[in-house]
Amino acid sequence: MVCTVLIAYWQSLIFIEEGTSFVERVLKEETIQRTFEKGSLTTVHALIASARDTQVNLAPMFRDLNLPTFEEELVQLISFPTRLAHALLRSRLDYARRVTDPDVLIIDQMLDDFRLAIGLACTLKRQYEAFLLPDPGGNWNLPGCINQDYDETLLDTLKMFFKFIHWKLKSGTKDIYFRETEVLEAQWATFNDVSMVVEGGATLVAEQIWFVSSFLDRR
Amino acid sequence: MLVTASGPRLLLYTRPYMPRHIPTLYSHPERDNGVNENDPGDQWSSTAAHAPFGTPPAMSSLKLRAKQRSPTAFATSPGNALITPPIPPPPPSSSSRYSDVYAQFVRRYRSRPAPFEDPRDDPEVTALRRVGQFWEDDSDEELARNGADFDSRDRHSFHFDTDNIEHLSIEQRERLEWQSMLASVLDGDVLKSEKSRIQVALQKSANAGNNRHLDIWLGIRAKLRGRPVQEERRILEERKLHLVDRVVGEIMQFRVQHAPGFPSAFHQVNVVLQHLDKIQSFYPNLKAFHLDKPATALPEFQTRCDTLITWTTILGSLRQQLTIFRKWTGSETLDVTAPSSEHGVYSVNSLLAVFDFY
Repeated sequence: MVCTVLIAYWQSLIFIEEGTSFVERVLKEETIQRTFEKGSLTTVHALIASARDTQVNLAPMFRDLNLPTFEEELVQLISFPTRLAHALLRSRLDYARRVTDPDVLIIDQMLDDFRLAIGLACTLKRQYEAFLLPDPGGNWNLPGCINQDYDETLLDTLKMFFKFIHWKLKSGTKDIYFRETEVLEAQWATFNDVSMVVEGGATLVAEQIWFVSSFLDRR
Repeated sequence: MLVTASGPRLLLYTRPYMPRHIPTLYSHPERDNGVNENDPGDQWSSTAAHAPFGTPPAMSSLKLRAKQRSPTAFATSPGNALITPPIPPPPPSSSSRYSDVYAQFVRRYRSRPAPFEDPRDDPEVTALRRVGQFWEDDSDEELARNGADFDSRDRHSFHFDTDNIEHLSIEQRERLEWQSMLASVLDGDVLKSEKSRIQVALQKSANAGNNRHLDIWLGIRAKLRGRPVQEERRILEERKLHLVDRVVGEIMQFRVQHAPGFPSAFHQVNVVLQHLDKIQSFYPNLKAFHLDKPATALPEFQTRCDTLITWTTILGSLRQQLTIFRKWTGSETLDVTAPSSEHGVYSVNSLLAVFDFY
């Protein structure tokens, strides 16, 4: 029973066919996603950092030699991970919107997926935004590489995240009946991340927590 | 000049061993004066009986070193006793025993003059050697002469020291000299001279090694090009003449040209760096390159080269990373949501293989 439900969930995500997008392939392959997380936060990150150090520290010599900056490559390289994280958030959101009255197991699974996607999106934004900060000497000045509605999608995802928490609390399963606050507290790191990184995140978190806790009070 | 250098040194060597023989300290400079007539002996005048202790500041380290060896330690420590078994610490009054001790010392000393015969450039060592020779000369004199000579010497010394130097026998003085020699041995001066000798030898062998490396390098170069070594050497010299200065000039003048007709900056930089590689390949190592063309050792040139190399390395790895992303996403524009048309090529396994280097 449990197995068939989970398999159905996975099958709905897995559709390896001609014409699937890259995001879909990443979603259905846990290993690719892990690879992406590690790659974008370590290797690519280190590469961009060294490019910035070079461009800033050797700027006078770059001018002497009339060397172009790395901007063209850097913009692509910086925007790719955030774009992928953004697309991952959207896919999760699209799927969640299609779910009605899910099973508790699916709720748990989706909570995990959402937490991961939100965490990655926040971390990437924090790291790559730090890269975009111009240096005082004016030798590092990149255009914005992060999508405009990145934040909006992130907030939408967080709303959906709270919806799942709400569903979970509402489900009235015995094993969480006396541990409702724990369910909320378990996601505290995610709430913090969004509040710190996204404008309006803190307000949203406050609202939603108030909503959920008032729901719990009313019961 | 030489005497002024060795005089205080002698004193320093002798000083710590004979606090009870302070007057004998002056016998050494006195003899210095005797040997080198032109040296002013004023500083050893009787009024300046303690002047030698006002040693020049330059000698303070030696003095310090000498001080660490207390006279009692010298007399009683078993290690030193082993070195000087036939010579017990001298009681100042028993002059009769000295002749015996002195004979032993002469035998011992003259039988192994080796440590002082090595030619050395080290000024300290030569100074030490001078002391040794000086002592040897004196000892020869001592051996050749008899008591009458002693008298004249005593008279000479009397002139300088009115207090108690007159009652010192020649044996006592010789013993003090011997002690100074022993002090220098114990202080490691002989070891130092050996070390410098080994260093010189090592340097020679290192030079020989360098030459051998150069020969091997040239030989391999010739072999790879199928030429005799002589011809290779000649061609190498010719190409150096032709190319090196030109390329160095090219790098110093280099500026990326952004005009439409020119190739990309990446290409331009790589061409220049290839030229640099080429001329550097004419030398067995960078040191030889810098020695041959001092202009290339200047920071201006080095910074230019470093900047060009860094620039091309960074740009290369950025592009490589982008290529990996393109292969990974299967999209030239890295569009992650575009449906993949060549999905068959990028199976899950190949995707993972692409990222294996992580």
